[in-house]
Amino acid sequence: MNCKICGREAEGSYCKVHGKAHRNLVEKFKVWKRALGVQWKRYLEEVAQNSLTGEKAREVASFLLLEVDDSLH
Amino acid sequence: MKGYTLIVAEKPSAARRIAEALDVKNKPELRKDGGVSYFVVDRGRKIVVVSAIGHLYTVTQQGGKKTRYPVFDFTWAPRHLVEKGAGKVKAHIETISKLALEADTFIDACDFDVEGNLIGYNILKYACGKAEVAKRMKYSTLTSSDLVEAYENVLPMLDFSLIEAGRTRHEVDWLYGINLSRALTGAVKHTCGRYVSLSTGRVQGPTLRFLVQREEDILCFVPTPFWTVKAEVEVDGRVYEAKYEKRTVECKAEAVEIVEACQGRSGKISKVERRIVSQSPPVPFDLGALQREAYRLFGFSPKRTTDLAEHLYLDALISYPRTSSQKLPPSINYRFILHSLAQQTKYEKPCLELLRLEELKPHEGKKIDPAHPAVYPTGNRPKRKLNRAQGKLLELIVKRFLALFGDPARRERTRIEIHLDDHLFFLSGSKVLKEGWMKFYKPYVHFDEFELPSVRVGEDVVVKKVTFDECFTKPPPRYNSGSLLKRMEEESIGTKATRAEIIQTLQKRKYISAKNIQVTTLGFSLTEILEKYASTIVSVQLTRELEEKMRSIQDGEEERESVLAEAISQLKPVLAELRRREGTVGKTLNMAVQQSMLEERTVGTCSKCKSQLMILHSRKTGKRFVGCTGYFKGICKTSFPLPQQGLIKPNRKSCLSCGSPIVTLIRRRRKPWRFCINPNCPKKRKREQAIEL
Repeated sequence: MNCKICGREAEGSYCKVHGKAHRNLVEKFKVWKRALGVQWKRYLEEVAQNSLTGEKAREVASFLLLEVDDSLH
Repeated sequence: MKGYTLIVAEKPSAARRIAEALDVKNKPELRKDGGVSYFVVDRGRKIVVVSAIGHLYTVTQQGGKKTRYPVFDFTWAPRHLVEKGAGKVKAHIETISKLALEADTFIDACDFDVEGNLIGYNILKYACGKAEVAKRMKYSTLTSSDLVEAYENVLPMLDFSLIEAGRTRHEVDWLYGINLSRALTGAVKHTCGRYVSLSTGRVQGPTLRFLVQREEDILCFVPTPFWTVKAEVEVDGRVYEAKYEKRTVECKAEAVEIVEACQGRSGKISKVERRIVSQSPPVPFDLGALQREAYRLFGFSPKRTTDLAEHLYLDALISYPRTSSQKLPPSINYRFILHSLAQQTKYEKPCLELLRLEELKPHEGKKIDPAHPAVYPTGNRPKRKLNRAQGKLLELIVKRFLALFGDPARRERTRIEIHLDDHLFFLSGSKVLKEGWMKFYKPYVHFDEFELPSVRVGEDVVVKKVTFDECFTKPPPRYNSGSLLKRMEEESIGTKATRAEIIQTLQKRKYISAKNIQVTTLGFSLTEILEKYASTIVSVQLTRELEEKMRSIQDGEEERESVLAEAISQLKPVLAELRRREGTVGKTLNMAVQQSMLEERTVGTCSKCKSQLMILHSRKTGKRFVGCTGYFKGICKTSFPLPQQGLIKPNRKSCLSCGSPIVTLIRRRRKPWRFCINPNCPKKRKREQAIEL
């Protein structure tokens, strides 16, 4: 299977680095929710815009945002 | 001339110093043979001092094609037969061999460490055939007194355990380096027909892996929000910023609640706490600490610091710098050094102050090196003009030496607690009560002083306002040369003498870039491949274990043969796996090489069409310029001229004035020049107009 974002070899949906970024995103959502009470989509938007977010984490956040939008349509 | 003592030094400048020190008139006779200088010294009996130029012998493959792997048969051979550009080595070996024929006593006077011992041993074994009967001069500085003492008290034989340790290290490193590099280079060559020089090694692999892990942490970093609450309080007509008792508040609602509860309240001082803190002087420099401090203060890379320190040592201005000791024994004669330093105007005052002390006792660290003490100044005045960097490093070493004898510094830390109803805020300040050692180490140390007003418990303070700031957690910092060196030391990989070179090699191979180390695509791919197919090569634990075994050889607890056999048994399965996966390895590395080459040529983004701006060459004239890749799609014709001489490196930064990319031009013997590629940049125009005016 290939990574949904970069097309590199992947074990699940993502390659090694994007997988790590995805795990970080899921884990940190709990902190954001507790801190600001935000929902998943708003959280992804905030993270994608934040200048401190790592490049790979931003790519995963942007990709997940597209998925959220698609599911809404 | 017959029947003399032949002394072999490591470098020509060391040979000159030894000859001058040993000659009764300090004027040895300089002779030349085949372009190689040597000195004839009169000291009751004749002495000939000749030098090497570092290693004259190296490990090489014994027979067979130079591209095959695995290769485990090796031998030691003269460097000029193995390496290109080592032509001078031949003349040195010939001269030393000739001088050895007439000599009756042999002394190795190379630096007293693993490398120095090996250099001397190889020369005495292969060029003179006298390693078994040779004696050893041991010294830590190139001052006349130390050299004469080392000659008078010459050790009866070479240090064979150090030599064995050095030989093993070279052989193990060669086995790893040659086999892995051939496997990687061969994989690309066989799969894609492209020749690219790729390398990895026993220490290089794990070091690159640290960097990749840190880079991944940064790339995958997700910031989280937190809040800090502060109160502006007025005491004695001055406004101070008091911090909330909880340094970080993790929930916005809580921060809002605190601010609302404190707004408009008056404060009462509930506690005043003063604490005296004593700070001991720093410890003497070992090489690692010197490299880190020089990077922190002057931005020198570890390799540069080593080279500069080597020059200072050869000029007899400092002791031997490749040491891991943090001890300074009284035998170096502290008082004599301070007296000598006091002859130089800039050190006169602090030295005289220290000399007034009844007892001089340096503050020492824990690390010990049996071969050398920590780095210290000899007290000699420079006989030639030092360049700026050498001058800076020498001053740092001198001031550190002076600071070791100073008293501990004393600071007073104050904490004032202010209650706003149930909420606690605090002010913190500090002031220096006694400078102690710090005055000797200026300007390399300074404390931020912040004095608080004198207040009493129960006193009321005016609270002007209470606010909160939204903050985000920050990604971990990138490694720089200094912090990477520290990590390598902590993980016990590499040696004090090799770590700086490893970092340099990673840069040279284009696996890492920039001062704040960033891993390139090639570095990422290489680590990924090694982690997948050769995990032992990047394993810190295995490298450390091998390193410990090599150290045990030095202590006589391990045999060279068993360490070599273990290294080979570790390498064999790894090389077999790399051979089996040659196709995948070759393709992945080739793609990474291409990507890296593309990155090296990409200077930024085109402001007109958002395509990439790249360094291109004109087909007609062959001249280079920056062109937009949109040109190939027929959508953009943006281009910028470039200087035709020197190396151009993209800076990944944009001009603040016009937004065009900035590049750096690197030319020989000139300072790197950073410039905006836009010839019509308003900033440039302004400068031109100013010049015209």
